[in-house]
Amino acid sequence: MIVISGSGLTVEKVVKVARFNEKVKLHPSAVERIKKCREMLEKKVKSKEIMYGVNTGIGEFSEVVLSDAQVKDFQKYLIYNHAAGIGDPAPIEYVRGAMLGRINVHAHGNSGVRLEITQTLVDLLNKGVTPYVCQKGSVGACGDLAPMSQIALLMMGEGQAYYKGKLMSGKEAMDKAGIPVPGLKARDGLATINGANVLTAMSAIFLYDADRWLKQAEIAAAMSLEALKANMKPYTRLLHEVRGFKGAIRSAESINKIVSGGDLKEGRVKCKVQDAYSMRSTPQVIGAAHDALAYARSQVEIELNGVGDNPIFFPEKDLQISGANFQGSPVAVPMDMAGYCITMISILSERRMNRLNNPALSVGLPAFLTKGAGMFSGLMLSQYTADMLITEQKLLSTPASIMSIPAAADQEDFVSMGMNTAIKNFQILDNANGILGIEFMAASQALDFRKSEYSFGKGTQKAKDIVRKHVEFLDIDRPLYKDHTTMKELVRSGEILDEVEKTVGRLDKY
Amino acid sequence: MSKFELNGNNLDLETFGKIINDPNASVSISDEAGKKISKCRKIVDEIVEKNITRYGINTGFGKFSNVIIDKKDTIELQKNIVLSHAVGIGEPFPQKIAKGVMLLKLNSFLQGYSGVRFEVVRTLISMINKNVIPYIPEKGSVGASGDLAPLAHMALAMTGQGKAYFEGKLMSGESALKKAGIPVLELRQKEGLAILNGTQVMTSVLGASLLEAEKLIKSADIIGSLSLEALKGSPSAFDERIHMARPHKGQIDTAFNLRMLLKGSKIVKSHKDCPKVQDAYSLRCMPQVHGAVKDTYNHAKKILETEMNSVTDNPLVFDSGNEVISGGNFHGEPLAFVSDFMTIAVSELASISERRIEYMLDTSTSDGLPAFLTSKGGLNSGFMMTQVTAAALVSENKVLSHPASVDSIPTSANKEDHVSMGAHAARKLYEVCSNTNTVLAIELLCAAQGLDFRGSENTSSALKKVIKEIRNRISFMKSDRFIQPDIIKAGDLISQSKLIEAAENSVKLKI
Repeated sequence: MIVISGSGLTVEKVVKVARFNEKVKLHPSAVERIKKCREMLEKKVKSKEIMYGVNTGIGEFSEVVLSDAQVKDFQKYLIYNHAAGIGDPAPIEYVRGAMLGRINVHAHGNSGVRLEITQTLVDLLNKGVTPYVCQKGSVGACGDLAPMSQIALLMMGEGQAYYKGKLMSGKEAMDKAGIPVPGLKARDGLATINGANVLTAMSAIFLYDADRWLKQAEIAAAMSLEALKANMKPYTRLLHEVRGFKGAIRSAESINKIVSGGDLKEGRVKCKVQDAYSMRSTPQVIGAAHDALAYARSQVEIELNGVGDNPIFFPEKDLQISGANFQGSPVAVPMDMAGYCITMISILSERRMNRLNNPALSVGLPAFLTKGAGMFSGLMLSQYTADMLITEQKLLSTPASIMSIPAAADQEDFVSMGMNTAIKNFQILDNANGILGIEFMAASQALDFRKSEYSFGKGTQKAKDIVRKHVEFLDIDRPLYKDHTTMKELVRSGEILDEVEKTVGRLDKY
Repeated sequence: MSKFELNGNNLDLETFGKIINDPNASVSISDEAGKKISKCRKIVDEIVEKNITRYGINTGFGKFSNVIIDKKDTIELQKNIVLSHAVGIGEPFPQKIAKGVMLLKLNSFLQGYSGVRFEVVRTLISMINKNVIPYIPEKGSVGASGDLAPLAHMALAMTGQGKAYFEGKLMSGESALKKAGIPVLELRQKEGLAILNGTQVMTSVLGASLLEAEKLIKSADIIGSLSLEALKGSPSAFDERIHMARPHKGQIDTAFNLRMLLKGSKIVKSHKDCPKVQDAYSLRCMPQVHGAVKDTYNHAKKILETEMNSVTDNPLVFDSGNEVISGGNFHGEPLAFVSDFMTIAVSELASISERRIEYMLDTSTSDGLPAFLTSKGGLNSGFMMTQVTAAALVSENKVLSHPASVDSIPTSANKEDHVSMGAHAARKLYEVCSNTNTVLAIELLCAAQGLDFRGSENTSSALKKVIKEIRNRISFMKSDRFIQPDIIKAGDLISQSKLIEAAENSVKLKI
């Protein structure tokens, strides 16, 4: 059970709730704050104070004042006209993550929303009702209006939702789960949708997966380094401490753990004075990605715990202020960086795989890791697959945060495009799973050629054992697409990582 | 002294190159063009006289086009448009490009649709012929309505304001005109707009780039042949039959060039029965890659030459019915597209060249050449670092190959809500051409060195002449020396067409 209080929400907690269905509840103090804020709002409505999005139109129509009779219907039409997404539905975990983020915004008591709305979001999470939300349609400011509106449709007993694996009408799903329909009153609609919660939840989930992927990149690197008889001195902790980047120290120590106990690490295998950059600078490069992801995480966690809404109400000061806390840029900018870091590390992986395949570079391994050269081509074509995936990643690495297109008759004339960042980051990571799977396969193949010659580190040996559970040694050529696809799925599942960490300890502790 | 008579329809890339690169070139205009200009101006004068409302003659500009200007203010209007639009920034364009801008503007006036007086045309002719070159900052155009800002800087010089070069010195526009004996132009109705509105800046940059690209493309075939010889590569992949089976013109022409360049080589014969069945792509696929670049070049050239003979200002004045019609001929999209496309093509020329460099330096691929093409490797590092330079430039080219034309930022209160960014596209192309010159220069140095190790006396007669031309200026590198001057000399061999001339003693290269 995770208690929601407006603070302390982390990337891990988002994944627990979004992916692993952990239950949530509102902290009593949050309930108090929400109520108090709503009281103030209702007082202001009564006294006919002009409040954006409560008794005015929105966006370019913000100068249009609504009559009392129009205020309630306005919330309905607001949700209708903003539910303007398109295409395939977003995965359930993104939508759950977005609802969690929205609840945490409300928990501050600055949104002026009715408690019933927030509580309905809590019920939807706990009872496993997930609104059907189109993935595309948000420009990342004012927040994720279009996708959040499809969540808000359920507040009126409309829209569609998944319940127990089935897609049905929103009303039916709520009835079956026993969740009352709260309806939308003044402010409720806008307070449900006006924040970058979908792209932020996606970013949190991405950072969780990306961190696990980076750890696996270290395992694959360690395996390739052992197969290539690398000089392991460049991984000495002291070397990285004198430069001072945390990520590099972490990465060097991670690799040291994986190779420890093997003949190479213990100096019983002859190696070169200096290796190529793709081998020697692994801690500096993967470390740079760790540092970038750490920064991105710090920004995402600020957003997860902040009031990303508009307008914002301050009951202690009897004040409401219109601003732009929905603007997705603080998340979009570091997430663009986080995405292309995964591309960068994929490029490094491909270079090591190239070294394993190329007999001029592989210190005695058979060309293309096949014993029957000529008749067999071994893993020659695996590289093509990796290269294609990397080029796609490079195209996807163009930052979205510089791509603003003015919207809403130029009232919303700069937008973050953070949703594009979030979507393409998962595409980059999907390719990265494929690329790393191919390196794992090549490295395991190479280690099998070396195993009679010297012994490997405990982590390396464990990783190879796991790979061999799923993909056999390539003795003679066979169709590779099945192996590639199996390996990609293996990387996505994280089985190698979990088993290696059980053997050598956590790779992120140093 | 070479003389050129222009009529608005007869400018091509070659002529453009001759005029901008030759300070002694002299231009004149045909009688017929002169007549068209006077006839067109009469229509404008009538409109002014009768006070009929027409865009740019007695209205404001852009978003202000609905503001009517009083008759007595119409001359001040033209002065103001030049002043308000001269908002360029950054380093000045090279003088040859600025001269090209004047030439293109002149040619566009000759069709007689722009409504300027003969005095405007005469000022441009005099400035071109006397080499009074306007100082034009290179940044500030979004490529629609044409190149407003940079052309405004040209207009400043024409009207004795701003800055200009004369006899190599930068001075005020006024003193440049005075020293050259050219009367200061005073703008009348429509003339400021006619000068400012048009694509002449991006066209000039694209033209100057294509002139460089042509040399790079031909030189790449020559240099690639040298590398092939140094690497004991096989010309069998250039067999005509292969290319007739996939008849892209550029591919067929490249295969032809390579066959002719390698004809009679004893090195080719010496390894005819060697165990290598196939060479790496960077050698074997030269016809396909260099050829695709040639096709792209020819496409870009066609678009460019159409634009060189176009009228791209706005509005245009037609004598049939005395009409002034507003359109959008200033929009640079056609040029922006081909500039972006050409940038990609020239980048690829450098990219494949860098692979051949690497192939010659790495002993696992160089078929017996010494590591990094130096004897006493270790004490000497040879050409090791030249590949690093090439890699840096190739990477820079890749970033510069991101298309500019897909970007657009609305300007002028959304009246000009989609622009071409063609000026940026063309400037990137120019830079990519310069980077590619250096990469090919490095390949040239490595190939000559490799071929000397191999015994360049045994290569083909065409390539022997090329090697002789190189060795006249750059000696074989026996031990490490300061290499950068060699790179620059090799780059000059390409850009001054020396390499091409040496090869074309034996074979006329196709493009």
